[in-house]
Amino acid sequence: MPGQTRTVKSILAAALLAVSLSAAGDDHRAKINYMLYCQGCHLPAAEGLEDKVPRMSGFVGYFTHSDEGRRFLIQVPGSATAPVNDEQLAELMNWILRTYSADELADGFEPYTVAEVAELRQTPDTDPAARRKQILEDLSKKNRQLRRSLAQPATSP
Amino acid sequence: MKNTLLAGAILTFAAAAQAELKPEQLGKVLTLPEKYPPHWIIVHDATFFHMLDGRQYVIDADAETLPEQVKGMFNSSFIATVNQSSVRPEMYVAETYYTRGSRGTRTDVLTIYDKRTLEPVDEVILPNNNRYSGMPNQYAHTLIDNERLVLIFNLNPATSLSVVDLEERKYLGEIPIPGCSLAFPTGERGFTSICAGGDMYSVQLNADGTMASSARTESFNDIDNNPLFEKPAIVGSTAYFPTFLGDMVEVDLSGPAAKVGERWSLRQGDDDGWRPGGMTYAISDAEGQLYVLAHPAGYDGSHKDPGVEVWLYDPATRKRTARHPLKTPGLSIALTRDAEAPLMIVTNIEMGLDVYDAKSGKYLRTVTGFGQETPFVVHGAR
Repeated sequence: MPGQTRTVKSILAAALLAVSLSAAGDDHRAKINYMLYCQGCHLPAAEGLEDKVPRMSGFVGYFTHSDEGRRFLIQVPGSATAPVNDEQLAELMNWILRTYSADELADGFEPYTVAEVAELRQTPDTDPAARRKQILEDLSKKNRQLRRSLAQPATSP
Repeated sequence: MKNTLLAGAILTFAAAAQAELKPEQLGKVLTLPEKYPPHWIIVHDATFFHMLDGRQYVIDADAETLPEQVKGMFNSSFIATVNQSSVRPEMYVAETYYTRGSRGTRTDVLTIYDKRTLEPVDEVILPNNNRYSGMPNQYAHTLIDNERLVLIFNLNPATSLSVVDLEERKYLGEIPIPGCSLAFPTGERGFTSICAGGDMYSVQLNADGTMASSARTESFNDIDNNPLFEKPAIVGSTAYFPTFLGDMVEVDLSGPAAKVGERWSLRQGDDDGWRPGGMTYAISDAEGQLYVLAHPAGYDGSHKDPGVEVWLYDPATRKRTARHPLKTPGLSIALTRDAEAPLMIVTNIEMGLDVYDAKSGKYLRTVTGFGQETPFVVHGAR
């Protein structure tokens, strides 16, 4: 009967929707949050703007190689003061790292937790540019790949 | 013969008339007084549709005719920010030039104008070329330390303040204000900025322009539901920030760090639906009375709508003392600096300047047609 078919279809659609929400729904929200609160400056492909806006694409993952770098990614004002709650900020940063810089992530990288983000964003940076420079200097001492990336003018972050 | 006589008569008559007309000296250049009269105003025309050639007009708001109203003009390139000194006969313009006009190498510069001649007399290069060139905002260009230092807001999009020593004509450096914007004078030699996290960030400087101390308030500004407007009216060392929904929040800027004070309602009586709004919506007069531009039937997004009334408040009692209905809705309000009979200047939605008696609200005249296009911000002259 046509009515029965419609009911079955509706149930199927609802089931599919539930599956897609659990598997990819957070990514969808993260991407929308990226578009709303990040890409205005970091640009749609996270490529940044030379000498002004740090490139995240193919780069931001390096920060996960040190505790200080990991803290910095949340304490930098663009993250700390983004108008999203702690859960969505953790989700957004994890999504950025996976989406734009998976190759540069530290081995065994553990995604940010909500509690970690909640605590870190309470103490935003006072001089993010200087701190960023120091972190990259420290990291590049032991990371040849990062050293090379920093030395290339065309892809300078 | 007759014709010759007639011609001679006309010539004689013309000569007589000429003798009465004093020949006018050409190329006459006048100078303006060192201290401008109390009813003069500085009009910041951002020239919104061609921002390359913004300008500042010096206007006598008392005068009735255009030639008497317009005292002079000077340039301010690429939606500049501007300020006037009360201790030196100078005005300051933070502006941007490119070597080929709209393209080429960028130069940010603080240009110093002589108030008497409206000539640029000196300049200080702002070396990082990261100056904020957004809609004119009086707190993007802030004098502190008895007008010795000026703070110029940078946004590229990281935020910071350039510090320039005006006496030595010297760029001293940059103070980062991460996640924060603008500068309200604070304490002996410092500033407070308003921050995206709902807090405020205060910094005190050393004499050489470096950071001496810093402090953050608790997060108190409800950005999502009822945010503070970013441009307060300042009386003495108290800043009065209207909020989108019609509160007034006091912030004490007298000490080294901002202290959040009282919150009270601008809506007093049956004024439901009225909200503050516009471009310059909160100002104070020489006696410390507050003026707020307001519109009825506010909604989410109406915070930049023109106002149709100006509401006056006595900060001592936190009570509204008057409502001035406007002849034409306005975007920005300004006041002349005198205490006796201040004028209120309203940039109306037709981009003319309506002049009112500030205390009674009586409409006096409209100053327009002097070449202005988008005179977004007006300053009482010093």
